[in-house]
Amino acid sequence: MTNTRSFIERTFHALLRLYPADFQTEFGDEMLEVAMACWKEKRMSGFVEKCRTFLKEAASLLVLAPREWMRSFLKRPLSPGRAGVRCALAFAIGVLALRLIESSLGPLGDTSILFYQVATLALRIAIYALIGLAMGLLLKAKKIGPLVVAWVLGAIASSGVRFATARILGDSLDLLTVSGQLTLNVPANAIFGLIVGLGFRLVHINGRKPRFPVLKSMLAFVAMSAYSMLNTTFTYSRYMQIGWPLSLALFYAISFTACFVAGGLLCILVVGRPYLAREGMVQ
Amino acid sequence: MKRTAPPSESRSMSESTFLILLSVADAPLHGYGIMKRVQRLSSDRVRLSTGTLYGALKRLLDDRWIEPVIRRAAPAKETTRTRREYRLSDRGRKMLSAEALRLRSLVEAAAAPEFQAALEMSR
Repeated sequence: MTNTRSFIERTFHALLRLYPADFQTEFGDEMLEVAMACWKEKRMSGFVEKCRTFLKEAASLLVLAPREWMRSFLKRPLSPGRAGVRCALAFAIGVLALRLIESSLGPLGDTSILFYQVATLALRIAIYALIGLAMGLLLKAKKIGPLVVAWVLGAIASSGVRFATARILGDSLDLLTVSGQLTLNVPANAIFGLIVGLGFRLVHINGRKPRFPVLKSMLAFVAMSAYSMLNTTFTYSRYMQIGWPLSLALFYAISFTACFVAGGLLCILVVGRPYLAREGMVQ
Repeated sequence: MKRTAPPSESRSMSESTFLILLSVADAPLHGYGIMKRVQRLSSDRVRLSTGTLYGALKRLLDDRWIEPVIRRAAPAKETTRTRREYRLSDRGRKMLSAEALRLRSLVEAAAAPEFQAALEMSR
């Protein structure tokens, strides 16, 4: 049967395979039949009209496939685990990108020149805005704007705290200063978590408002202080010239894992309750 | 249980959706039949492609505005193939009536004497 299929039919059939499996099962045969009926209707028309019909049908099948994938993605129930893993990846990739770009700035990024400080802050804000956007999309939130704004404000606030800390404690690498910076990273992250949590309060996930998002978000961000600790420890070891390439590789691997865990924790905590409530597992 | 997400009914109805619902209002039709009827109802202005039509049909089925009707092919064709047609559901009928009323009130508003000159409408 397949051998007798015309080129047109095979093309339509191939294009229909771009659609999600459930859509194909439900409408695939019918769509092929209708597309072929449209084509056959123009069979007696001129070459131009036949080409126009074929291109119109083929283009519509091609263009509308991503929309059906998006619909299928948005319709699928969002389990805390799946949401957590996806958002954790978005978060970890974002933070890793930030770290890589910051390190590529080299010693310039570490100077106290205002331009570089502003540029670093702008970069930080842009990447956190992207993380907020990615999380909103991946969590299928009804409104994404508040999340993006919350991530941006959180980045500004926590950067402000870190900036103030550096001003007060100085940037020397003696143990006392480093310990002080590490300790003050905890409130800086808590403020970040507070603002992001306030953002989560304004969005609906699985058609519901998350419960205690501020508390959960602060908890996840404070857990992220472990990442700041690693960051400082490895920066410190870099200055102490302890196996630089190995240290760098370890730093990126461990900080990626730390961000993955913290981001995943945040999303699982925030999504968990609405999901369970939706599934009727809790009141 | 309070549902906070906006219900799908609150979405505005597109012209294509309106015409698809209208085309299956009196009798069930299969995909190609709907396509042709929409074309006729819109005086050849709206020509749905297969992708657009089935995207809309899926949404309407999900929202339960239309429902499928399974029909066996005619016995003369000596085949066991079934064919799916679509018809308007009670819910879809309510939505279509509401939209038709809304459109009628808009047309009536635009047809008011004070707008005749501005819109250059012929009586």
